Amino acid sequence: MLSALVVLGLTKRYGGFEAVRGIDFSVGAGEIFALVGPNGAGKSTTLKIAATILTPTGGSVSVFGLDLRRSPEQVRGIISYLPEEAGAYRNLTGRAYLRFMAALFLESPAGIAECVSYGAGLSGLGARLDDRIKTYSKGMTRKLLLARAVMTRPKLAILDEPTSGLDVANAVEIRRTIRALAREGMSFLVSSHNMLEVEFLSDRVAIMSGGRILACAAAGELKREHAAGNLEEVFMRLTRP
Amino acid sequence: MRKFFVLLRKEVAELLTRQIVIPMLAMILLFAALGKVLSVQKRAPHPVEPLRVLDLDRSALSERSLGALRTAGFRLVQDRSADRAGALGASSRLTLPLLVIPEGFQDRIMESQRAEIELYAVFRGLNIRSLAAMGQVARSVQTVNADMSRFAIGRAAGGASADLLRSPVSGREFVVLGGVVENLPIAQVMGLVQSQTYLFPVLIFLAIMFSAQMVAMSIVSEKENKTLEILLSSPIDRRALVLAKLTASALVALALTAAYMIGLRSFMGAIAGDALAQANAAARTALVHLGLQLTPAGGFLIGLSLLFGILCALAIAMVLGMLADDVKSAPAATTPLTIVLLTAYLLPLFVDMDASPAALRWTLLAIPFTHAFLAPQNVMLGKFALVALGIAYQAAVFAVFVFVTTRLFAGEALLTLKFDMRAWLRGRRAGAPRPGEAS
Repeated sequence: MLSALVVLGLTKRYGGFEAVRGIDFSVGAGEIFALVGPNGAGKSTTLKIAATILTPTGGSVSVFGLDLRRSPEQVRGIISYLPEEAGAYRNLTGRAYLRFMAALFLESPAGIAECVSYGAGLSGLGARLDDRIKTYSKGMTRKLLLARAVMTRPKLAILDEPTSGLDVANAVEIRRTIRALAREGMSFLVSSHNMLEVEFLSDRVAIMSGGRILACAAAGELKREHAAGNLEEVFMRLTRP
Repeated sequence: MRKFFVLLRKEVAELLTRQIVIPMLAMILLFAALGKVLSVQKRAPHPVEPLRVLDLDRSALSERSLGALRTAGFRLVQDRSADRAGALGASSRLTLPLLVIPEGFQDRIMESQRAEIELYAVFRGLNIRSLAAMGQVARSVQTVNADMSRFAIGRAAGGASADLLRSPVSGREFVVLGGVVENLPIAQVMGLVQSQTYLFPVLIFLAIMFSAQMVAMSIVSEKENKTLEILLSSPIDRRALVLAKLTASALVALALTAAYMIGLRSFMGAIAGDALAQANAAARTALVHLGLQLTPAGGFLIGLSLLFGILCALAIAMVLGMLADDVKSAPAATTPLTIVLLTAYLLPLFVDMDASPAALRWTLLAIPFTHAFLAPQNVMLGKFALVALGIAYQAAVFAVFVFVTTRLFAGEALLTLKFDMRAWLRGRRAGAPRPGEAS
């Protein structure tokens, strides 16, 4: 079966600084794959490269067999990306924002309407969807953006800190939605600081530090291998000199 | 194409916020109201300022002078004080201007010597209306002078007409423009040309400035609100994205300029009056013959030059906007453009392009905005080929910058390109490499 994402020998330099230093991993179809690690580990850079908005310095990345360098526009048609601390257009209403984004991915008016209706349901914002986004709280904006990221039913959803800014109840609900969508076949590449979230959410985890992947396996496997009670302990053992 | 319109609608919705629309409407109303007030004031008859008169000579000629003042429309109030000190003494009485005809006024004129009269102007305020009233009072000396001159000439010349002797030559004025000769008062043509030369460039300057700020803000707010990354990862042709931003900014900037134009026309019309409207029928025809009334073709050329000036500013500001990190640093990022724009706006107002050194002339002509500023003058002078060449040059500059912008949008420059002035200055002081340079 075709992998959702294959990353081979990926490097990324910003001037003299090497943010990603030759990493390899793959995400299977319908899999939730998580990148965890401290700030500056290279997680967000990896996600941005997979989302086609940064170009790799070396190595290769392919999404469902499409090479990122050669066919970025085709890749953009089958992925969606949610950056950390992303915003939405403040002067649009939530519904207008969903309609705007749907119209960028879909052609037919019926398809756009169906997509918006699905996104509206996923957002859980109800009547507030008809208010301007500038009146939303941080959590409401995040829910809208998450709904936007998956409403077009991308083959690969790339989510940077998906539950950042959400309260416990909303975060749990979002994790459940991601799991349900993965069961339907959607693939996910997520990054998070929250090890507990990663443990609950992901099928496999890659622990990153200093631009390198230190370990990559299912959360349970990593715990067993490092004789740790949770992923935080695994992380500490891997990164402590 | 469909996605272009989807993007365009979003861009316009984001740019046309209440913060933009309300000041725009307020400005039209404010200028219109100011214009209305000024034109009502202008039409209202000016109240004649009373002039206090102290005649210490009490002669036939001083009486004649007072008569001349009354004939000229002055409202005279006789001061009964015995002397000058009495008239000036009570400061509370000095609320009206005072004209003093001293003793010996008639004797000096009769002896063909220069006589004196004194005028004490009272400034009750420093606004334009008070100053106009003072100007009216100041004319009293000229009125007396003209009348005494008439008297002296008449006395010396026997039967000859004093008026003819005072002004024995009359001038017929002709204006020559672009090979056309018309019998017109030079001052009338100067008034019209000056109003066009000042009003048009102000509007062009505003239109270009608004456009540049709009597009820079559009780019920077996408960066600051973190909406850009989502947009760039969506299946959109980057050229459509660039063009949607350019078009939306141009549309909003033109709407803002139109608002300023409506407001300014009403305001300037009230202050300066419309030279064409004021001219009599013959003068109006002569002004049209001279090409000083804009024809549809001339208007089209000026509009086209303005449009390409705006487009050039948009394309350049888009690149500059990429350098800014947040909305606060957007004006700083567009400063180079503002400086160039000001140069193109101000220098041609004071410098005769044809007589200026070649280096200055070519530098100014290399700035695409100069052609927009020069277009109204050149159209009026019938230099259409020059205007067309300017437009072609502007179009070429625009094409180059759109190409550069699209290339930058296609790569990651939009996310990674930035110019941090503080970091750069710190780096220069410490001898460290600039941001972006390999360390």
